[in-house]
Formats: sequence, C-alpha cells, structure tokens
Amino acid sequence: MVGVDYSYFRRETYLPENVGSQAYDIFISSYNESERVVELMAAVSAAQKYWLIHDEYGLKDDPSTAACISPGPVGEIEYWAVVFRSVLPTREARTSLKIGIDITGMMRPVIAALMHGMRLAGLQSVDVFYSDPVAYVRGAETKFSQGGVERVSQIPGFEGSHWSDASVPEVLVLGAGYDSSLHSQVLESRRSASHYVMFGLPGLQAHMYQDAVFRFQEVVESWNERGGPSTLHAPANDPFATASELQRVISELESESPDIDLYLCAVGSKSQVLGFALYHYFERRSTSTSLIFPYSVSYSAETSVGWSRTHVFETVSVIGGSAGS
Amino acid sequence: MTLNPFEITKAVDFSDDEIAATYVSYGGSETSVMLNPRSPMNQFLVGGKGGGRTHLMRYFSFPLQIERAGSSGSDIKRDGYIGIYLRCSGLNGSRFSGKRQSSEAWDAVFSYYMDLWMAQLLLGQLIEYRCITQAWGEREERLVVAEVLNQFAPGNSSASFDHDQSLAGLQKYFIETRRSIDYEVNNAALTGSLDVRILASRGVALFATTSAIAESLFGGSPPRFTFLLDEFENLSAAQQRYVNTLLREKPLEITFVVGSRRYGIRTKHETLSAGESNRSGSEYTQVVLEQRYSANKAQYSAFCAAMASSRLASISPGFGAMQKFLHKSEWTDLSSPDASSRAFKRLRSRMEEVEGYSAREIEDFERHWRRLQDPIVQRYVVFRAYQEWSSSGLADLNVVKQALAYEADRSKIGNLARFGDLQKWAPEMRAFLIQDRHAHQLYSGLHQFVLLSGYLPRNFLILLKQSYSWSVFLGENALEDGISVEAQQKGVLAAASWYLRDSLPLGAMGGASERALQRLGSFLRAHRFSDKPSEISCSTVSFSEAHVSAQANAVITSGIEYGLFSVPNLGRRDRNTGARRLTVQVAPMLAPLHDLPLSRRGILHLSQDEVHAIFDPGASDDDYEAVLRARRLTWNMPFTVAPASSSKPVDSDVKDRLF
Repeated sequence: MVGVDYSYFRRETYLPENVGSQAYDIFISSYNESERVVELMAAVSAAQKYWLIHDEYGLKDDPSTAACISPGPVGEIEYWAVVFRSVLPTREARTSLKIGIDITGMMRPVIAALMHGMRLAGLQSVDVFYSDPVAYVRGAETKFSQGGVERVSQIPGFEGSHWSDASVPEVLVLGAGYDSSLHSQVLESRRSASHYVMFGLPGLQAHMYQDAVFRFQEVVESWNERGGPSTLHAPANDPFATASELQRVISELESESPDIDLYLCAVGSKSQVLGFALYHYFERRSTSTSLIFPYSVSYSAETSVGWSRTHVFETVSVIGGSAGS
Repeated sequence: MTLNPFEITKAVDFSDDEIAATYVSYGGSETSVMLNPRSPMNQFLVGGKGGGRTHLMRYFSFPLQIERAGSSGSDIKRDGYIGIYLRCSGLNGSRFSGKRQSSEAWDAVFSYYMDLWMAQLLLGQLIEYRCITQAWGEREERLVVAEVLNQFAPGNSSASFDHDQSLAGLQKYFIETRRSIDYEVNNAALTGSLDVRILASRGVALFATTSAIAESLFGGSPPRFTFLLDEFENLSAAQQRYVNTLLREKPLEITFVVGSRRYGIRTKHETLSAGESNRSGSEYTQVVLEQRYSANKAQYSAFCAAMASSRLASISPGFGAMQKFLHKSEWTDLSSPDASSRAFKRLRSRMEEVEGYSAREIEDFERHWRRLQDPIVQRYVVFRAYQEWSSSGLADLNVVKQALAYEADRSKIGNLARFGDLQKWAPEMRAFLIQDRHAHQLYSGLHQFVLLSGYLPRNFLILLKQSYSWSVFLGENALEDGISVEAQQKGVLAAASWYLRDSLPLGAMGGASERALQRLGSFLRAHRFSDKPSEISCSTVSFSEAHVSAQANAVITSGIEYGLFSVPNLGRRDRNTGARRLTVQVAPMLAPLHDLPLSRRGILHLSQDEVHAIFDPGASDDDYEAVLRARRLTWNMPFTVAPASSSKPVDSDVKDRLF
C-alpha cells in the first residue's frame, strides 16, 4: 500500500502579533486558563467564536469572552457531533466555511476524533491551531493529568481488529511527553508488546526534549525494548512529520513481519496527538491497529507559561475523494 | 558495554527460547507444586506483579511443548495436554461497552467473540500438532468441520462456509467472523448502532469445536485442551462472569488455568448459570503464588539463588557462589566513630535540663560511659537510660556500671544474655548508629535481598538488576569481585522507588494509597528512631477492625491487593474485647524508603484516631501531624502523655508477636 504523502499538507507558523492576519467564519477553542489559549482566542479574527468546555478541567465558571459549548460526558466522536451541530449551519452551507480550531487546550482523545467528527459532519477541511508555550510551570516536573489514570483503553472509533494471538508480534508506539505516570500506565497496559518510544525532537522549546528524556528514565523498567533501536524522533510541533515517521517505522516493521498487532498512543504535545490520529485515520483504519489512551479523571487547567508562537495545520477528512483506507 | 545479566525481568520480554532457557524449576516439579496442565480441575494462579505467573503459564504453552519435544511427535503425545496460551489484554475488553448500547447487548457480543477467539487459537495449535504428529488425515478434519458447522449455526452457516473443509479452513472462518465483529464494534462509536449476527449461543462455538475434535481426531480419548488464560485482570466483572461460566460448564476434555493479579478477580467467582458461584475445590482450585513460596522459606531462597546463578552462569560460565556475589555489609560501614557520642550528648543535655541529677553524677556517668569499648553497648546504655526515665521518671545511672561489668566479662558464654535485653535490641542499636549519622539503613547480601523481594521473584531480579547497574557505574568488576555494599545500597533504593511507582493502583485510589503508605512509613520511622521505641524491629501496625471506616478500609484493601502493604497475620482477636484485630505491614520492597526493618518482630498498636489519620483519604495532613505529634511526646523525652483530645489511649495489653 502506498502511504499518504503528508508533506503536501499546509503548515504555517505565526508569532503572537501576526496571528490575527487570517480571518475565519468560525473559530473554536477549548477553554483553559493558559495564556496561550486565552490570548489566541482574543487575537484571532473570526465572525463567530466558541469556547468548548471540558469537564475534566473542573472549572467553576464558564468564560464570558465567547459563546460556550459543553457537550458533557459523551464519547469523543459524539463530542464533535454535538459541537458541529451547535455551530454549523445547514449541511449545504458548510463546505464554503472557513473554520479554525485551536487544539492547545483540548483533551487528547477529542483531538484524535476530530477527523471522524469532520467526516460525519461533512467538513472536508479545517485549520487546526496549536500554540507553543515558553515553558511549563514546573519544568520537567509538570504534571498535566490529575487524580491518576483511571484506565488505558482504545479510543472509540480507533479500535482495530487485532489478531490477539500470542504468536503474532505486538507493537506499541508511545509518543512520550512529560508525564511519566502516564507513560508507565500505557507501557504496562501493553506489557506484552515491543515498545517504541517517540520523543519530540526538536521539542516545543530547546530544553523540552531533554526534559522529556529525563522524565522517561523513571519508567525504563516498564520499557520492553526487545533489542535494536526503539527510540524514535519527530518534531513536537509538526503532526505531518510525526505521521510520516510513524508511516516509515511501521512500514519497516511490516516488511519484517506482515502481521502485527499495533497500538499507538500519544501523550506528548497536542501536535503529536494530531499526527498519530492522522496516521491512523488515513492509513490504519480496518487494520489490526488501535489508538489507545490513558484516561485520567481530571487535568490541570494551567500548566504552561507564556505564548511563543502558533502553528496552523491544514487538516482534512478526505484525500482525493476518499476518507482513507 | 557490560551486559547486565538481570536486564530482563519480565517473562513477556522473553522469546519462547528464552523462556525455556531461563526457566528454573521450583521445588523440582511445577506440575505438582504450582500448576498441573493435565488436571481436569480448573486452576487459578493468583498473585502480585512479578510472581512468575506468565513465565509458568508460557512454559506450559504449546510452542514450549514443541521446544522441549523437538521433532518427536511421540513426546508431544506423551505430554497428555495441549497448552493454549492467551492474554486477556488482547481482547481489548473495554471496547465491548458504552457507545449507546445496552450492557445486555455487549455481554452477548462479548461471549460470542470470546468463544470464537478461543476456538480459533485452539485450531491454530492443532494444525501444528498434526504437522508434528501426523495423527490424523484430511477425512477426519472434514468430519470436524461438518460437526462444528452443524452445531455452530444450524441451517444457515454451512451454505455460507466457503473455505477448505479442514482445520485451517475452519480457523479462517472463525477469524473472518471475529473480524466482522471487530468492525461492527468499532463502528458502533461512529454510527450508534451495533449490528452483529450471533450464530451460536453462549459457549457453543468453543465447546462444539472441542467436542468435535475430541471425537473425530482423537477417537474420544483426547489430550487435555488446557487454556492458559493470562492477564485475567484485564476483563470487566461482567466479562469475568462469562469466563467463570465457561469454567463451570466446560466438557471434560477442556481445562482452564487462569492467571490474575491479586486485585484482578472482580467477582466472587460468579457465573451466569442461574446466579451460581464457582466454589473452590468443586469448580476450581486456587494457588496464591506468594503463599506457596512463603510456605517454605528455604526453598524460596534457594529458588531465588538458582534463578540468579543461571543468569550469571549464562554470561560467565564458571560463576561461583551467590553468597559471594552480594557482599554483606557490617553496620560499621555506615556508622562513624562518634555516632554513639552524639546520642550521648543529647542524653546528657536533657539530664542537665531536669532536676534530679547533680553535676557530679552526670560527670561520673559520662566518664564511665566513655570507658565502654563497643559502640553498640554504648548506644544501648543511652537507650536503657531513656527506658528507665520513661518508666520511673529518672534514669538509673547504674546501668553504665552494669555495662562495664558486662564488657569486662563478655567472653563468657551466655554473658550477653545476662546484660538486660541487649541481644534482642542489638539490631536496633545498629540501626540507631546508622541513623545518627543521617545515613540510610543498610540492606545487602543475598538473605536481605530475598526478604526484600516479598516472595515476588521479579522483585529479586530487579534488586539485582539495579545493583548490578550501579556496580558497573561505580567501576566495579561484579562478575569477578561481586557487588559492593555501596552499589547494593543504591540499587535497593532505586528498586524500591521503582516498586512504589509501579504498584500504585489506578485512579484516585492511587493517590490515597500512596498518601497512606507515606504516613504509615513516616509514623513507623518516627517510632523506630525515637528516644525510646516500644517495639523491636517494627514495620507492622495493628488495630481493631471496629476502628476502621469504610473509606480507610478501601485504602487498606487496595494497598494490600496492589502490594503496598502486606498482611502478616489476619484476624487475631483482642484478648479483652474479642474484637478482630488487623495487622498491616509496609511491604518489604518499600521498607528501605522509610528505613524500616525487614524482620517482623514488634507490632505497634494504633488508636482509632491514628487509624483514621493514616489510612482514611479524608484525613488532612494536619490530622496526621496531630496524631504523630501526640505519639512523639510519648516516645521521646520527656515522655509526656498525649493530650486526650488528640489521641485515644493506645492498647497496651495485646502483646502479639508474629514470630
């Protein structure tokens, strides 16, 4: 199978002062208290703006700077169905809309489900925004999840058809971030698998790659390397490079063993999550590949300091008239 | 770079060859001691993480049977069983829920899916079995297919079966059916509907297959089809109920060996058979690996040593004794000459603060004390002074003269026992001397590593792995000279930190358990290194069951199931009140994080307030500090009684000793 060439996707970077140069019909962002989330919403130019509310942040009051949508405790794909039902006009009028979605404060499984949500809503393309912080509030010690991991499970809609046979190799590719408790839970949840760990390189900031590697040392006892190099790298703020790297590595693994049970899990940057989801959506659906995630009860609403720049990624639900494999 | 012989500590990391190569028999024969793959009785293998379940279950799986038999078909037949190893994690059980579908619908789909999965894996092993043994031909396989389809989907499936009339064809049919279910289960998240055609009722897909195989391929005398179902904890309660039902309703040719972590048995062996539960001894037997290991401590110790020796011998053929590999420490390694002086200075300054001693008496006391040669004896004199002070209001300074007499005469047999209870307290005096130097306690040598492992062999390997890594880092030649005490000390702390991270329960209970552990550990540490600890070598607490709230009980239970606490003794009753008393010990692997002893001697009895402050997730840090502060007043000079409001009287009448 010839894979998707992710280099054709548009990717732009803006400094905070230039981010308002693009105009949108609808702009949607997940609310949290980070400067890079709140200020981007204010700076972007859009006819309609909406905040998405995630219960996981446990915020007492909804923000007043834009209309709020609160889908509540529903599955990720249903989440997008609620959002798009709330903000989009009739199906016919949707195709011409220019829509921007900021994923900086968004729950990772919701990001992963975006393309499914777009396809079901009849949206072919949106611009996805992601803003880099200057730093995280507690450096390498920053914890993003709170209250511990409840479960590690497949993200609905990303459930593969697995061989589930001990004689078939199982592979886990983990996109690593800062939160070592998440890493260990994911690695332990697929403890029979060969583990490949992808670090963001370059990181969102120069020191962040070293921080992530340092934190990962805490869970090396859970890391099954099975010999050979099992550390991967892709830029932390480039989902397309991330998807390309996954494509390359999985292709190599499949050339050695055509049948594998593959599990993908991204707990690093939100751009990395988008990259993992793109790869699954376009190339691994209806295969023995699942996207899994360590679900936590709650998340910190304020983990970063500053706003250094914003990336815009062209994200589509259909390529050449097809929604992937 | 030097290869760490203990690098791999988990059976899942091993290939089949490595499973065979690293397998160490426990007590000579697993078939009788731990697991019997030929038994018609279902078996549960339960235990903590790292107890050796996966290694054992994989050892009895068919690929390993082939490995042992080589190309000998007769050996395979002689085994008398075919081991089918399955990991429940492979089912991804959580997807059979939610998505706007009813739980009844999911239960039906899951049971059908599970039947297909197990039947498919059995067929895979039998295809290999035939290749090796040539035990049957194509005609018999056609009979199997016809019989299965006849029962599997009467009336409509035979027509839709477009595969070879062989085991391989039947296996392919099961795989395709399973895949179509996978597709529908996944799509339910997108479409909100679940469109699965269930072609056989509960259990039929599996049992019809095994019955047909037993009759047509083995003439009614089949080997045992032993399903080795690992990682049972990955199934939900409803899904486990289905597996329990299979255990209950299975035909004779099948047996199930179910591997689970302690916390992973989610129901009391409930089934779907009219609400009946499986009973131990009737439908299954259960082996708790740690209990089996602890029943014979010498055998477990020999097992650990053999496990390590086989790894070392694999990279260093001629490797000698394990005892020499791990250096044993002396307490003096981490003490300093003036450690006991520091303790004495504290005592002296306190004597000067109170009325009752003249300056002359204090000077005499010190002069005699400094004539003592042995720091252990010196420290014991200080301790005895505090003991006396606590009970009589003033220390009897004659104790130092008794100590001098003892030292002058110590070569005589039995003399040690004559000087108070020095012999009993000597390990704690060593601990004091190390503590006085602000160093971590020592845990080194084979015996201590075995104790630290808490009857989980993987812990033993991780202790060795971390120690070996530190040894290499410190420039030692471990294979030639053994691992130094320093490297072991660092390795033990690294292993303990790993164990803590690795053992915490999921979700909010993880935080609550960790907090309880930290509080219990610091409470016991404060006791151990107080002026006058009341108990010797104490890493265990006891309390009345009536004092435990539901929330605290949940934390304690979870901590035990996840290996943070151990329960050395269940259910003793208070001699006076008759109430059941619970004992909880800090898990041995975690003892180094709090400088606690590994040997279990003393038990500290907790009041209701203390139980609440330590274990209840609703207790604040202030609550905990209050009970600790109150206790410290009784453990340390001037030994004042705790205010009644902060801590209820402590039971002192129960003087249990574990051994």
